[in-house]
Amino acid sequence: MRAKGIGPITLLAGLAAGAQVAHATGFEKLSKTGEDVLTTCNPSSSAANNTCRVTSLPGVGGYDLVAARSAPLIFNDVTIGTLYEKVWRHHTKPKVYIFGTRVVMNAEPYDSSGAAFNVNDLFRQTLPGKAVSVAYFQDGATKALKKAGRTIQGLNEFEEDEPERNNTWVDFRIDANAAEPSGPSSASSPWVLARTRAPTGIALNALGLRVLSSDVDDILDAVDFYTTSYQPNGVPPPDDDDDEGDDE
Amino acid sequence: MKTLHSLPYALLLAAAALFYNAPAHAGWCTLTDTGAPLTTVNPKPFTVPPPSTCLLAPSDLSGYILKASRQANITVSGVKVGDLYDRVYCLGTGTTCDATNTYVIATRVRMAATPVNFPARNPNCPLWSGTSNDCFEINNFFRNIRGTAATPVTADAGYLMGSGSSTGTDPDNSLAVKYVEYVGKTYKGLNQLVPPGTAADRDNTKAMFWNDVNIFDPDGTNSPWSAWLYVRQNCPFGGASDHYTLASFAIKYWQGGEEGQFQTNVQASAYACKTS
Repeated sequence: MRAKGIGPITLLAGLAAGAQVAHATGFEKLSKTGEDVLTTCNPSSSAANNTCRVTSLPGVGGYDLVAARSAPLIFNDVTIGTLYEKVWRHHTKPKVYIFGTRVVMNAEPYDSSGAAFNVNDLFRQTLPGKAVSVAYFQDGATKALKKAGRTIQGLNEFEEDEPERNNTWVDFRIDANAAEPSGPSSASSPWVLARTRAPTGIALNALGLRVLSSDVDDILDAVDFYTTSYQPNGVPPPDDDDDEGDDE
Repeated sequence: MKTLHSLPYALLLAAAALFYNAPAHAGWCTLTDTGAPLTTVNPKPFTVPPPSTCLLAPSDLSGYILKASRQANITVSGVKVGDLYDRVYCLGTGTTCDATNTYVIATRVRMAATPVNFPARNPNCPLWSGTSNDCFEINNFFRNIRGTAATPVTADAGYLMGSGSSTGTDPDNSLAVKYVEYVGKTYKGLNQLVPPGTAADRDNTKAMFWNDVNIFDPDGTNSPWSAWLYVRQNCPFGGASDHYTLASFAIKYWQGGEEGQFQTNVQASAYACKTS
């Protein structure tokens, strides 16, 4: 509805969607140990690449929607977009949840550069000892989930091949911008999904979601902010990243 | 322990500032328009009594009238971390600026002490980050000024440490603990340039004040109040209406990571001279 027929990438994605249903690979489990932190999903937003893709929300059967909200994304006192969140819980395994996140950006300048905010990474919190699987639902967005991993370092925030591991955070590498300075824009991100355990339920955390814009020549020009989001109860505070066992 | 350790030093600085500011003052300093942008004022470790560079006394503002004043929240990640006191003065009498069009944009901040978000993690201030328990620290202030790279407009800078207590609540009667370290026409701050900077660091559209402000500073010396930071220019535009306006993104606060904090750039509306 909002994007049909607007641009060639959208058109391709839309045309391909029907053919992809049988081939979407769905949730991919993120590594919890070792130096290989990032899982590659669809970095070029190719319609033929179905890694991590699901074709509906929440992407698998057996879940009930238990929470949903939307909230403005505010940076430098400017509303730069809207955050949408949904949380589903498994019918028969009530400790297993899927946390869904989407951002829809606008073209309002967010600082003295006059540029629109470009979201390169969304980070949300999970229990560090619990397994996490990720997926994305395109839902009209023109760009896909590129990568995901258990880290708090996003685009251009690390110099090695892989970012530093931090199992308290899940990074979703996306590219959402209502007014890209060059190339196609995708004001909406896909729905990015994290499936994990929340043994004592979920709650809103005032600083539970990090939004990063870091597609810059000098990383000191990157900007980020934190905002409220759902997360499992019991996520440790900074510098308290204890292992709690491993089961999804 | 941290507070006990830091308190005598803070009091010493405060007392020194109180007793020595006025005698040592030299008045306004003119910011450079070419080459390395920074003028050295009083970098750490602080010299007490402070050098006279850019140091004002209240008498340096005689003849100026207050044209506009506002207080605004300093907001990071939706969390109020402090208050901005933003003012415009001009040379004039009564409520009328005189024909010299001499305007001063004044900045002072007070960092918030009330815990918000997870007070157990840090009871000394509002928490604003999901990945750090540090209080927000401002290392550099930037204000929009008139001028372009090709056509700079002369700007003078100055500062007042204030008076009264370093833990006061009145912007007109509270004392900064830490001195202004550098001033200059640049949009870069701590860890973005090495003083005095190079010509490549220059931005003739901004006035930068390097002044460390933190309600609970990891360096051991808390300074909840900044100094009063002044930049003076000729502001001829506006005709019979105000020669200043409340402009978007006209102030920037930079947390540069002095003690390893995450580098953070915050911009907000503030007064600025009209540019046309």
